[in-house]
Amino acid sequence: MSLRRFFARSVALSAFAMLAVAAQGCASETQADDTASGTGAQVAQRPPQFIALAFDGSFNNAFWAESREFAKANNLKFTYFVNPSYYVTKRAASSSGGDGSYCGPTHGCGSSAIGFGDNSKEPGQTMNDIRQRLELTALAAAEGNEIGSHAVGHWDGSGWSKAHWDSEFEQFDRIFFNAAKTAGFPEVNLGFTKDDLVGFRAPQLGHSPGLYQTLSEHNYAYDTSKVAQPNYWPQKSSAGIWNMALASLKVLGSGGSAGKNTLSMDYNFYVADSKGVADPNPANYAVHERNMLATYMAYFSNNYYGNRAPLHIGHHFSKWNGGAYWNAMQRFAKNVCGLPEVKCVTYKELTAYLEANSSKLSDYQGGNFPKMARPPADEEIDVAAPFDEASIAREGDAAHNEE
Amino acid sequence: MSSRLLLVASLALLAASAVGCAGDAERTEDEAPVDDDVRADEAAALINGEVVSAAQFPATVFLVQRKCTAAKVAPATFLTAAHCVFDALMKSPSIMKGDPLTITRDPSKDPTGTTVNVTDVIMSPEWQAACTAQACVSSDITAKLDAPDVAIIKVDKDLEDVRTAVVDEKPLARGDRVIVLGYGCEAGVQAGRPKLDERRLKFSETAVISPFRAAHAGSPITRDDVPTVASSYALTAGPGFVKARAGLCPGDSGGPVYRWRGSALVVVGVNSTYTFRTDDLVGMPVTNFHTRLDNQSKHFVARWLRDQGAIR
Repeated sequence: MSLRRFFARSVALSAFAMLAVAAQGCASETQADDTASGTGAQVAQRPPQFIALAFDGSFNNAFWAESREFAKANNLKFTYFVNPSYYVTKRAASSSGGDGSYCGPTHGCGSSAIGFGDNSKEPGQTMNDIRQRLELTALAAAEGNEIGSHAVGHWDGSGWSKAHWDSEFEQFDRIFFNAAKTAGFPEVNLGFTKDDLVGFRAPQLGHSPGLYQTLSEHNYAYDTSKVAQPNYWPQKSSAGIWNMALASLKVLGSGGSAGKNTLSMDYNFYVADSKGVADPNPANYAVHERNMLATYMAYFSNNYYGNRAPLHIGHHFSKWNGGAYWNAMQRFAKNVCGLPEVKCVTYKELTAYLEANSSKLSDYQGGNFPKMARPPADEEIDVAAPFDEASIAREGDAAHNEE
Repeated sequence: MSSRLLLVASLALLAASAVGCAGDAERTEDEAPVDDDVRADEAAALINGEVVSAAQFPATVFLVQRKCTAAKVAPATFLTAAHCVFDALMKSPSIMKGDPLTITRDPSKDPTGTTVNVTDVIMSPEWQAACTAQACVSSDITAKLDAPDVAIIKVDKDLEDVRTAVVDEKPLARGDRVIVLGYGCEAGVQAGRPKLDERRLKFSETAVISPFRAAHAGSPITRDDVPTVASSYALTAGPGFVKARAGLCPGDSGGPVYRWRGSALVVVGVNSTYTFRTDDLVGMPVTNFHTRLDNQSKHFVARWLRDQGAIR
């Protein structure tokens, strides 16, 4: 129909309609045939938007306190993946046969990639720091946060066999759950046992096939060492381990890192922004913070209005680049954790949800549920990046350099 | 009698009938009144839309960075929806003075459009206050909001090839014929987004329906909410109500709603939000919400627009 003809018809229709309304009054209308009624078929309910905020490390006692306070103030929960090497002295780790002794697979005894609790890399650390770390860990757990494993010595296990992983996990349990006694503070009680530890993130994300059988045999429930697209719903492997994959993202915003591929992890932004060393220009810190926030918000927005795949944000006990990434994470959490249908939970809580709803996950992955509709402005931003496990930036002992 | 004369005549009649119908929102009948102009045989638009050339609606533009539709209502001044300029997740303005803004009337042929600089963004103060106090993250929330979803964007350069539309302060009445248009998606709110160069301006001629229509299964609107809805919005039927009807889709936000006044089209509303059925996976609006601009709307939108120079 030509526009002219349309308008002519419109005018005529308008006139008749208005005349009809005027003539009939307001209440003399009849029921229209509702030709667009629903199918009546059962559709899946929209799942909550889960967000898992986690930290790797455990060395920086001030950060334990700061992050816990943030969690309490904002009614959210964190997952802390800890390294037992930070809970013992180098002397204890080197003492053959002791509860604190550590021999990293494919590495020598008495060494770790990140030092120890009284570390020579961090002068001034005392036994009291270890005690405080134990107490802070216990408090974090008591407040509802989750403690998980980041292995002992922060070695890259991507070339390890199952036997290597078995050794690392057995040493983890022995060192960590005897740490208070080993350090001479037997009265300090973590308040949880190895049965409560169900989650793992591999140091440097360095995983190998043998890891998953070890996780299964040690009664772990999930692993957070892999990478997937941002809208990935976790799947359970044949070994019975949930794959809580970090997201492959494109850095949004401005500056040199914009457009680069990264992961939903602070260290990877640090590499994208300043090659994994402190940016020599502090004026750039605000840009790094803004870019991470924009990227995380787009990751959130696409999932929140999309298939509701859980978000995985992995940070460290470090304030790289002037705290830009910790600042961005806090702003992100403040923005989203209180929104309708959003749950900022521990990985253990997310795992429980996945177990209870495993039959629905294929529907969730496909977005086969009534999605939340935003008002009809179109805000979708492409933030997904292709990824290649081999090219992922892996944090080394920078994890110990807790700035 | 010519169509034009019929229209003039009907407008005169309408003025009288509008007075009588102004209490729609207060109706107490158990059954919501059904609009006799909701017919399934009309051409659809927007979702399933009817494409129109930009030249045929010369005041309507697409705001590229905001992915919203707008209308030029004064030199270098564009009327759009408040939610197009406010980030609901961040609870802060999403476009500010000094930001570049690319404006095009035909994204498919002219995706680069003209880029100007924003000199001012003024959103309805009620909207800004409401969406700062709570997160206006979903249509379920904004449909219940007691605030007008309108904003004015002023830019540093007038686009002379974009005509200026006139905003009409007279209220709409149920049954009024209106033209809804926008550059939004076409297959459903949840059915994917067109790329910039795939966006087309689409229109639909439709009619204002009773606000009681918003209180359907799956809608956040209850009958108790209807007076509030009616005080700020005019509603049209969407494809979730009658399949062939036009439905708003992301990208249509901020688009003008026109009505004939004599031989001219005048702006009487702004595309704002919608409601859906509970089991709708595709996203076919049952009702489309258009923010009223008239001088009888609850928050005195016409006066506010006059203060901003959008009504002269």
